[in-house]
Amino acid sequence: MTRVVVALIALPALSFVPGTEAVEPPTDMLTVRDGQWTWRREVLPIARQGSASGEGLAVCTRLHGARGAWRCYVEPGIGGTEAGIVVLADEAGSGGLRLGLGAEGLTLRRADGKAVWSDEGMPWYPYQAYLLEVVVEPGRVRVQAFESDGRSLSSQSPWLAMTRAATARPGPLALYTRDAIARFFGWELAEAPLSPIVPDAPNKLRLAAGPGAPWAVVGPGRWTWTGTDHQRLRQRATVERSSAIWRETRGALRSWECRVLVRPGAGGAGMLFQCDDKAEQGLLAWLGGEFGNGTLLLYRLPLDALWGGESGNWHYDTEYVLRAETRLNGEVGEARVQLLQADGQTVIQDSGWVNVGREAATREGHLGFMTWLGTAEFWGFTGDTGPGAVVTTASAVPDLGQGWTTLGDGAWEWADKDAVRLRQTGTPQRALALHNETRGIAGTWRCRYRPDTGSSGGLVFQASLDGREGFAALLTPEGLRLEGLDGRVMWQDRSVRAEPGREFVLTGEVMTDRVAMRCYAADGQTLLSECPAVYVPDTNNRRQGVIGALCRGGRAEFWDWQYTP
Amino acid sequence: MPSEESRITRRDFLRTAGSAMVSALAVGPTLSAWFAGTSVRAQEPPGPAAATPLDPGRKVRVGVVGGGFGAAFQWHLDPNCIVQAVSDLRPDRRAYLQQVYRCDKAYESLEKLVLDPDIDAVAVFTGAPDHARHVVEVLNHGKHCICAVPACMTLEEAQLLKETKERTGLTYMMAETSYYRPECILARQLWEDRLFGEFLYSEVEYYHNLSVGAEREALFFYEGKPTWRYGLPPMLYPTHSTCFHVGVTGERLTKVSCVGWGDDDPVLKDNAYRNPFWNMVSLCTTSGGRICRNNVFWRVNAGGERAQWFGNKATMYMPGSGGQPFIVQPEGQAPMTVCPSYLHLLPEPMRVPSGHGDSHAFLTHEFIAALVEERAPAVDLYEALAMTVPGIVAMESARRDGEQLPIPNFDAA
Repeated sequence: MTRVVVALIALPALSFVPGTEAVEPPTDMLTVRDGQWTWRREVLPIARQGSASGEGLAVCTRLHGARGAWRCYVEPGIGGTEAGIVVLADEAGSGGLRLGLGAEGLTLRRADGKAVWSDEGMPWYPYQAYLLEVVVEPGRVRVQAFESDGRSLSSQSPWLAMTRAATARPGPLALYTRDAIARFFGWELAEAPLSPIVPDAPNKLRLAAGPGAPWAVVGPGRWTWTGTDHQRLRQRATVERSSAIWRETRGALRSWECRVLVRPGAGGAGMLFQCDDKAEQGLLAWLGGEFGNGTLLLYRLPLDALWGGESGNWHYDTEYVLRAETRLNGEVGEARVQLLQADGQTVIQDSGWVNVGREAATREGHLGFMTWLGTAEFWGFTGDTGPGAVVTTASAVPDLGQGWTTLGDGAWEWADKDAVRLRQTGTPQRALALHNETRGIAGTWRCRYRPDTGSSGGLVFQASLDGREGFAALLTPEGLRLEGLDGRVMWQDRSVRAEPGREFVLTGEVMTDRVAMRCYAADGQTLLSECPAVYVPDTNNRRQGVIGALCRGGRAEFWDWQYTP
Repeated sequence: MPSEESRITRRDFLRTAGSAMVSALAVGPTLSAWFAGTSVRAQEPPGPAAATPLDPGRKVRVGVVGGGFGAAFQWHLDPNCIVQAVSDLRPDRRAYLQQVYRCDKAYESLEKLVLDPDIDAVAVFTGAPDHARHVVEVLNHGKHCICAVPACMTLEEAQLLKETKERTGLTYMMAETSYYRPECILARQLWEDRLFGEFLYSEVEYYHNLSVGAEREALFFYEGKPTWRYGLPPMLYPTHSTCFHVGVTGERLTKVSCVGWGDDDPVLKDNAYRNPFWNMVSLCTTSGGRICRNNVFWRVNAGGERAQWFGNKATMYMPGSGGQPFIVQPEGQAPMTVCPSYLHLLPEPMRVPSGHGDSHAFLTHEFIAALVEERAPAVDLYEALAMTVPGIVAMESARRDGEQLPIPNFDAA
C-alpha cells in the first residue's frame, strides 16, 4: 500500500532546556487564534496550550486539504474539559468538526458544540498521548482513536453522513482546547486511515456501564468482552481495585457461580455476590493472599475477611470455577464459597458454612466481579438462581468482658481467673479478639503466643474495632506472616513456623506509613525473624487502632499484651 | 460513493497539499528532518508520522567505550546511528560490545578510538573518576561526547569540562538515567503546567545497598584489587537523585548542608577518597527559593532512584522499593494513579524495555537526535554540572560537619 504523508511539525533549530522559557510557535507552522501556545521539547518538539481556562485554538498552516485521514497526537492535561483537533474548518479554524478527548470521553462535535457521535466510555489518562483521527470522504466522515503506539485502536465510530458541501471545501487542520491544558504533536494528513472499520473495535466490546446501563463499573478498570458474542469478560487494566456489577441479576439465599482466570501479576480476583451496584455491600469469593499462589477467601464488603484457607491453591493463567451460596441457619445468615478445578467437580478449597450475618445473607443483590492490581477474565456466569439450604445449629461466642470484643467464629475463654491469658478453644476459621482499651497509632505492639496443633494465629495490631483494618503478625504451620486484616499477605518467612506448645513473642511496629513485625523466642530476646518495613497507605498515619489476637484452625493462648507508643 | 478503500491519487493529494510541500522543500538540511514525512511510504500497516521524525539519511557514527554499562544502550537500534567502533581495556568486554552492537571494529583503548577519523561521537561509559579526563580527550579530538554519570568528581574538573566544551563548540551530554524515567518526564510536565503550585519541596534519593553479598564483592573488587567504587563517597555520585529536582524544574541548587554516616567497616578506612561515609543526606536551597533534600545511601535496606515532590497545590510520589505506589494528588482533582508511558516519543525500533525505568533508549535517541538537529541535548554540560557539582560541595560540607556552603554555578555566561 502506498500513501502520502504531508507536513509534520516543523521546528526551528532551538535549544529546549528545562526551566528555560518556552518558545512561541513559528507563525508559518502554527497560527495562534486563542490560548497560550508554546513549543516545548520532550524528545520530540511538542506544541503546548498552557491556559487552563477558555478556548485554545491554533491552525496548522502547513496542512491543507479536504479528503484523507487527519490525525494528531493529543495529550490532555489533568482536570481539563476537552482537547482535540478540528477538521473541515475555514482558514481561521472556525466551523468544521471537532474531535476531542475529555470529560465526556471521545466526542465528535459540530462547531456549535452539538455532539455528532461520542464514546463516553473510552478510557484515557491525563498526560498520556492518544492519536485522534478523522477520516473524511465526500459526504461522510468517521473518527477513531488509538493508544500512544499509534496502532492499538481505542475507539471507532461508524461512518457518519455529512452533506457533500460540508466535506468538499479544502481547509486546514486546527488544534483546540476547551478549559484544558494539552499537548499536541505529530499532526498530519494522510491518504489512508490507520485502521479500517473493524467489528471488534474496543468500544464495541466495552462493557455497557453507567447510569441506566446493564452494568456498573466501580473503580478505574477497563472491562471489555473478549469477543463479539459478549460471553467472556476481561478486566484489562493494571489498576488498584476495579469491580463490574451486573445489575440485571438479583437475588438472595441462592447459589452463584462463574469461571475465572487470573492473569500473571495480578494481586487477586473474585466474584461478588448479593452486592449493591457500588460494591459497598455484599459478599465476595476472592482469590487472594500470595500473588499467583494464594488462597480462596470469603469477604463481607467492605472487605471484612471472614474466612481464608491456606496458600498455594490458585495460580496464574489457570481456569477455575468459583461457587458461592447463601442460606439462613435459623436466624444466622451463612455463606459458603468453593474453589473448583475447571471440570466444575473437583473441589480445591471449601470454606464450609460461615456466619456472615443475617443481613448480608438475606440482602438481595447482584452478581459482579472484582480485580485487584491486575487483570483477570470471568465467564460462565448466568442470572439463574439456585436455592440455599436451611440448617438449625449456630455457634455462640461468650462475652469475655474486660474490654474485649470478639469477632468471627471459634470459642474464646480466659485461661486464668485474673483474665490475663486469653485462650481459643475451638477450631475457628477466623476468630478475632480485640481489646477496646489498648489503643494507639505508631509504636510497638506485642503479645505472647502459644499455638496448639494446626493452629495459625498471633498478634493483631492497630486494628479497627470491626476487624476490617489493621495488621496481624502471624505464626502459621507454613511460616511467619505479616498480613493486613483484609487478608493481604504483606510479607512472609517460611523459615520460622508455628510449633505446637512452643511459646513465641510477636511484635508489630507501626512507623508512619510503614509497618513491620518481629518474632522472638520465649525469652523475648532471641530474634527468630523480622521483616523489613512494608509501606502501607499514608492514611494509616492517623488511624487509631487497638490490640488483639487472631486465631485460625486450632487452639492457642495469648497473653502479655503491650503497646509502647 | 467511494469507500475508504478507494485511494486518493497521489497527484490529487499533492495538489491539495501543494503549499505545504513547497514550504517544506525550501527548508535547509537541519530542518529538513522535520519534513521527512513528505515522502512516499510503503510499509503496512501505516504508522503515524511522528514515529520517525528525523531524516533517515542523516547518520551519526558513534564509538562506544566501556563494555559494562556501555553495552546496555540502543545505539544499534537508532535509525540515525551507526556504531562505528567499540573499545574496552578488557578483551572480554570489548568482544561483548562488538557482539551487542554488531560492530567489526574494536580498539584497545579510548585513546586509540578517538583517533579514528570515521567516528563523529563517542559514548563514554568508563569508571566515574575517569569521566572528566575521557570527555576532555574526546572533545579535544573533535568528537561529540555522551558520558555516563557523574560528569566529574572535583570542581577543577567541572571548570575544565566547561572550558573544553565552550572552546571546542562540540556537543556534550550526560547520560543521566533519571531524566527519562517516565515519572520524571511527567513531573517535568506537571511543573510546566504549574500543577504543584508555588511552593515546591522535593525529596530525592538514590539507595543502592552495598552492605553485603555478591554485588558488593563484584562492584568493589576486580581480580582482587579495589575498583573505583571501593569507598566511593555517596555524594560524588549524586546525579541520579539531584536530577529529580534540577531535571524537573531547571532550577540550580545554590547552597547545601550535608551530613554523613559511616561505621568501622575497613572500606571506610583505606579507600582512595578518604571517605568515611556510607550514607549521606544533604539539604539544598534552590535558585527558585525552594528546598531539595537529597539522600544517597550505600548501606540501607532499600533500593532504587526515586523522588517525591510536595507542592502547595499537588504532590507526586514515585513508586518506592518498600511498596509506596505511584500517585499524583492534585488539589480538587481525582488522584492520578497511572503513570503515562512515553515510549511513543521514540522511533519505533527503539520502543523496547531498557534499563533504569526504560530510560536508556531515550538517552540514546536524545543524543543522536540532538546531533542530527544540531541543537543542545536535554542534559547538556550545564545541566550535567548543575546535577553533579552540588554533590561535590555536599561532600565538602559533610567533611565540615554539615556547614552550609554555596554551590558554584557553571552555567554559560
